[in-house]
Amino acid sequence: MDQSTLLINLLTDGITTGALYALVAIGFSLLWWLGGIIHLAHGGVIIAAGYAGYVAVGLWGLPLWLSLLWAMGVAVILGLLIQHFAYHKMLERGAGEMGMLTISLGILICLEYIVTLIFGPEGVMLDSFSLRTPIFPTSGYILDSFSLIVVGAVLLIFLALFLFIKYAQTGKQMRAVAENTDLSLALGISTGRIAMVVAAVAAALAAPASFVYLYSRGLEPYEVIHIVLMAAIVAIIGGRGSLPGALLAGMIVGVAESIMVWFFAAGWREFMTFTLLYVVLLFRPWGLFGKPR
Amino acid sequence: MDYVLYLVTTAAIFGMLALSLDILVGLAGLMSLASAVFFGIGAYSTALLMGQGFSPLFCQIVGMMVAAVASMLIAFPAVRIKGIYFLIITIAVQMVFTVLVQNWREVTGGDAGIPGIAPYTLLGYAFSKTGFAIFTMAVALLILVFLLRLTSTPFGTLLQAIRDDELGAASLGKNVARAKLAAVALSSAIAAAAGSFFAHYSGYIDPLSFDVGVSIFTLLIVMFGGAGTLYGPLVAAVILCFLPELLKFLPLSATTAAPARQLVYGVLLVSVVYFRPQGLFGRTPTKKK
Repeated sequence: MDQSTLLINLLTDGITTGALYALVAIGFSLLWWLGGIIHLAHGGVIIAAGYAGYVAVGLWGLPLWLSLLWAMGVAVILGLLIQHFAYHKMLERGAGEMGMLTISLGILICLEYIVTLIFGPEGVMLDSFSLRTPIFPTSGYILDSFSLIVVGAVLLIFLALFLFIKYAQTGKQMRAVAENTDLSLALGISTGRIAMVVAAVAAALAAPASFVYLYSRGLEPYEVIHIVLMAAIVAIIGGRGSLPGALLAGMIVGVAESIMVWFFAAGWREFMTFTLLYVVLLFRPWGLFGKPR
Repeated sequence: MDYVLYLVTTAAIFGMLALSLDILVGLAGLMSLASAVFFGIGAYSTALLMGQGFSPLFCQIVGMMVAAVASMLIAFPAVRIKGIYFLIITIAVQMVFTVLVQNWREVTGGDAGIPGIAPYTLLGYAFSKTGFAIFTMAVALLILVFLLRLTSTPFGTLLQAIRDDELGAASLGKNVARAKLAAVALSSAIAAAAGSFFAHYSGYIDPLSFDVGVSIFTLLIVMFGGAGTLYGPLVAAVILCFLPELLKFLPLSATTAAPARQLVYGVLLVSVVYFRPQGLFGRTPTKKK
């Protein structure tokens, strides 16, 4: 493989992975943006949605769109339960940052091991068949329709989310709550309802993300913390609550990872992500697109 | 009897680890999921230096110093800013550490680990099993007394001031970042000391003993006992190290026992912060507002 082909292939692989990271990151980051909640349990929601999807496709033989819808339903219900019974109730009792972090981590662990107990620790994967055959088989490029679908879907989701937050009434209210919760409440915005909407949206985004995992590298319950760590890192690098930031940061991390995996062993990619996080925290802690506070 | 001694020694070692984390969580208000990293640095330092024929105490002190310096380097960018950054960087370090000890085979032995670490001796004195259990418990209690005294020193009160009102402490001219770094260094040095005892005691270490599960377990101990009380986590370490023995009476197969135990820990973590956020031994918080 010559240099330019290699470069293009690394970019293709990295951007596909990056799109996935951006998708996971924005699900994590929405609640952080809205109310400062560190939604570690998002990793658990992704695993739950993924296994729900696996059962629907692999065991029940449902068509893909129906399975995705079902996984989304499971994720949203889970996300709303977590938002209402954990985050909302904890905040009502005046829980501090420690309490919120701990309960989120606790839920993450519970979800991880409930899935492990039901399905075993081996993990699941679905076959994407012809989607993974290169579009230009003779050229040496690895570009396939799977990558195109993933990147296209993520771009569409981000565009829809962007338009929703910018123009829809609920979206405007979200921005108001994110800017100043107390003031929004005083102005008559139901902040509790907005938090539930955001939690539902974040959870709904877990379903497509989990399907990308299922059809590419597979999902293992053990991976939950790693999944949510990548989400948090991408969200921090991108900047709190920034959609373009998450997208760009996801791509940067994805491409950097695929370069690292190509030149070294796969095990060392964690170093790269850590170094990126370290450098960002050192020089630009508010992230690429965030506002310094 | 041997088995009880094993549980007591394990509880003492995890008690030290929990105390080290309580400096961060309870006193300084910094959430960390990297306890197992500095626990591991202590253990690997001991295992590697013992192989070169140094004395256990020397290995332990070197491990503590390595852990303190490493932790300050890692925490440096995150202590300057408030928020989730500290937690996220500790999770990232935890992941990196596991990958490092798994892949750096020439030094750490990879997944196979390092066997044959000699038992702990103090200035030439070899402990019996009972002796070592008492010794580690005594060390844990000494650390507890030291930390309890520390809370009323200027450094200790500064940490608590930072926890309660970081901006307030900073506006009084206190160097918040430096105080946090010092807390991080102290915490990881104690964790490394515990790791050194662990390496000697089990005689064999591998990456699994220092993965994120251990960090989460340590956090559970602290939260369960009551963050900031210091003695709470030590008592909780004893309770939680004996707890899995109770689970053995449940009719579980070998494959489901491990995840079931982890699930119990997860449920405990959620229940404690939900129903008794101050932990078993914490004081009922006075209503703020």
